[in-house]
Amino acid sequence: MICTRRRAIAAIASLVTLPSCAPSGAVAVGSKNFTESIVIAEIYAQALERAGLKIVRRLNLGSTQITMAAMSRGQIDVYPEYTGTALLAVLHHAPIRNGSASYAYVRNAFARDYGIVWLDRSPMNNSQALATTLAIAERYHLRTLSDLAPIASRLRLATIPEFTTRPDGLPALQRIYGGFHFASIRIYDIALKYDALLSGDADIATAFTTDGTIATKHLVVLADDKHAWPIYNVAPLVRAQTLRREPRIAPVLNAVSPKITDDAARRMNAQVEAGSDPADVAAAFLKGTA
Amino acid sequence: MSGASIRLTDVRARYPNAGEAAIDGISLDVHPGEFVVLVGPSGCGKSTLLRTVNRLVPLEHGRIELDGVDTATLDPVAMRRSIGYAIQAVGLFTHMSVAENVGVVPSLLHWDRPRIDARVDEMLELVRLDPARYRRRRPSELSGGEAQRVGVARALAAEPRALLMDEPFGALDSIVRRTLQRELHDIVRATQTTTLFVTHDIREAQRLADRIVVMRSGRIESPQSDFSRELFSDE
Repeated sequence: MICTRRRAIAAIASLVTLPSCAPSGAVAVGSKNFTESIVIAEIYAQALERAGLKIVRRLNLGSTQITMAAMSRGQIDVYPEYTGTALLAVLHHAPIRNGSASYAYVRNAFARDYGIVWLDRSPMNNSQALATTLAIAERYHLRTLSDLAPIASRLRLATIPEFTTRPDGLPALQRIYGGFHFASIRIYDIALKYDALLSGDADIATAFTTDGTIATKHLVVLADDKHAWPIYNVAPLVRAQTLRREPRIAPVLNAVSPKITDDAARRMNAQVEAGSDPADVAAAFLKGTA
Repeated sequence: MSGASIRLTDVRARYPNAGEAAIDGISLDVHPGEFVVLVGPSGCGKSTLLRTVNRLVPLEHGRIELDGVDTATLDPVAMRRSIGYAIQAVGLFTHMSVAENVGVVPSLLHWDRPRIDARVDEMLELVRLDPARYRRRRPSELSGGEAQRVGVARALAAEPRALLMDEPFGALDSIVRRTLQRELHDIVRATQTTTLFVTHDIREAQRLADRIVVMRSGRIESPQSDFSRELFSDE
């Protein structure tokens, strides 16, 4: 979800070339510039097409600021957003650890301040997490972060820049769970932290709960049993104006949202990372859950 | 295979989060094959007590014996292999079949293939999932209750001598929960696995337990105390 400055500028430049609104009657579906956002936007787009709506796709746009700007200008009508991102990055609100309270807050604020409707959220929660291998989970009986807290001092953490210093990273775990003093901490590039875990150079790795690698490498995500981390449920955002014109959008996407679970998202992310076309992955998902 | 005895003598332990869920003066004798349920309000130390048995939380005082052997003298990894640990909200591996999920710990222990296959079928039958129908299914093709049963089968697959369960049914609706409680009761009795089970639900405790142990503020309450009577009174 991190967007480099150069990429952001390129994306803003490409946005300028977007037509100011979708061709007559069509609904424009957008996404951010990472795998999961693109796949979920494809699911939304195909579900709406199956219901007979005319769709144009404007995927891979860029960061949250860019998708929100495109919504306000009417360049896109629908895109997938995360409750935690909306709360922290758009509304600049403090984290709300309860998932339904967080959703209720962003839904009300977006309706009031932006003319944007939050449809039903999915159970999928792309939150921060700690993961380990099955062998290590069995060796130490690790199931939850509470299990890990007291014996972290015997284990090696592979993590990404900033995790050890950001207030919502390791300091939050130490404050809420106690313990969490790892035997060693090594910082890796985002793409390499699982390699350290899988090659035996680390015992625990920081993760995002819907990373495809969790599914393909049979990793164990330790449950955040004391709710240290904010919830990042995904939901379709729709411009209120568009929804008045095309009220069918709501029931169609609300029927899809409950089916997007952590497991489903991991599988789809893994397939795209392995080279599948997001459109094919989305089509298979809709077929499988029909 | 019959279960192990578990004996705690004057155990004191503390969670690293200072002040929270410390336990003190805990003595408890669990007989082979006995099903003991620990109940009490959240923060009373019941989960901490469970985690002293598999040595996730170190003892400050006292001792814990498994079949009469002080666990401090055992290799913790080897000891954990003889103990099953099941907990709420821990998912199955989505890229594995039901059979692979159930056989996952025996595979880690390098059992040979025919023995794993036989054990998987035995476990699936035990939790009333027809092996012919369920072996090859993916977790995404199971209902919530079926997935939970596969979880129980997985926890029992490596023939643990003791089973530790921390609110394993916490996330389920009441009907599924009732069914699973009944089945777990039957399974654990059939296999004679010694079980320590944590819940805050007094009804669940009554349905499952040979013996209920009430905890409060890190200590075991007498069954005759006002607190214990109060807990059991509203029926």
